[in-house]
Amino acid sequence: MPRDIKPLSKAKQEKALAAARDHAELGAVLKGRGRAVFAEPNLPGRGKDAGDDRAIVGIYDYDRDRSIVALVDTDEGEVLGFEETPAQFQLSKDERSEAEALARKDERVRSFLSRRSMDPLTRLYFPPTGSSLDTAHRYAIVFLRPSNAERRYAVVDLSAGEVVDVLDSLVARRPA
Amino acid sequence: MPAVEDAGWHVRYLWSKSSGLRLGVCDYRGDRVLQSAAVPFVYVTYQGDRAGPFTDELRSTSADVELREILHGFDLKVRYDLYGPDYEYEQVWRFHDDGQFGSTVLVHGPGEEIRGQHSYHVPFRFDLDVSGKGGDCFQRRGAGEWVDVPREGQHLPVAPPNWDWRVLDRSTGKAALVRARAADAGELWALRYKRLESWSSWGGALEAVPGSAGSVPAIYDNGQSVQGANLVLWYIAHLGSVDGIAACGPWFGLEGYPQPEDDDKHPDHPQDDEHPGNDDDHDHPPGGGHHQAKPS
Repeated sequence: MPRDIKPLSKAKQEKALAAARDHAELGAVLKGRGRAVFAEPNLPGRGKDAGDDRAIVGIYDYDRDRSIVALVDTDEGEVLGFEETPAQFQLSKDERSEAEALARKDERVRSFLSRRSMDPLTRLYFPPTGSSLDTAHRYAIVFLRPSNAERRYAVVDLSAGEVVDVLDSLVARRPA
Repeated sequence: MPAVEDAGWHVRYLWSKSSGLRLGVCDYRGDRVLQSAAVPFVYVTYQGDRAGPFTDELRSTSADVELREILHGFDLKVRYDLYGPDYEYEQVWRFHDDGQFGSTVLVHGPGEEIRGQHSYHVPFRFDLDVSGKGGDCFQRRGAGEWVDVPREGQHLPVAPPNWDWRVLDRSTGKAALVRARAADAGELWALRYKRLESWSSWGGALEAVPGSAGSVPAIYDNGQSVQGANLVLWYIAHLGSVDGIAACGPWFGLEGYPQPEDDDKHPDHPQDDEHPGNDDDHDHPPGGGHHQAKPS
């Protein structure tokens, strides 16, 4: 059984993030409420974009609620290009932790947990069709699992830094 | 990047934090087939608009990749268990010695309910490279013959699991054939390679269901030609949870590539029969050679 696996080494990851911070436009985003959400090797890249020394850095700009993706030369420590993308990248570890921390403070969540462990699972979330929530924002849903049988779901607006809903089910109730 | 050389294939792969086991460059008998392939995320919807959709990342508690020798080839198999047993996925990348290959994602569920009120939408991204020099052409099967598709766009299977589509290099006659799994309610998108699409394939998702307008991969479709270009195919499987445990994923065959000796040929190889019948699980009759995997 081959054991993998070396995605982007820690050193290259740090170099890629440092290059983004040093870049005029990306640096400005990261000095604000921008956050790097991933750094990965440019495996899908072609031509000059490809190679072991090329990394992709995903950034979420909380000031303007937009996603940015950048190509970085990790040997030279240089941003080779960047684009804004309408897609939202998956939550970073820090964002998941932040969502869980916000949920933990919410009174509805505290009441439900009643001092039991939250055992959270946290994913990138999008408001349902017709929701009054601002769809331009970035959301997380935190599954609260104090036991095998009990569930609540905290919807966290990461852009606003608040819990916007605590659901007792993901499915609409059927009429009795 | 680790690599496996076996069954005529040279397969590079990478365990990624954000989207599981991804493939890098893959060659069959020395000729390029794939530039890269991945399942960037799984999109989950629950009925009733009470809760919005969310995405599952293909993440695991371990970085183990099982290299599994099978009849006529090998598998790279991984288990995505980070979310625990209620939300587990498995993935198999399979390669056969006649050039067939594909990926299957197994959705264990059950998720948050057991009455079939939620769905999984699983996007597979394949950056094919048949010509090796940006000269690939996308075609669909017409009435008995292959027909050029001029522009980017969405395609539904006509009669899955027949070979409904192919990516052809006209200069050599090499082609990668594609078919949907009958139970997938699948769809295929043919796109020209673009930087933004490629860069965003590390888990980039939108609020709408993959395959619908305003979501991936539709947002990367700007009507460009899919003739004589570097092409990327997105295959999206739409699975209801009503079946409990379910499997999905497309399947590929190769035409015009170097082939193993005649006595190793399979009865259902695409070069022998382009309509393979109901071979949903990609199983093959016994009688082939045994291969020693050589991870490097």
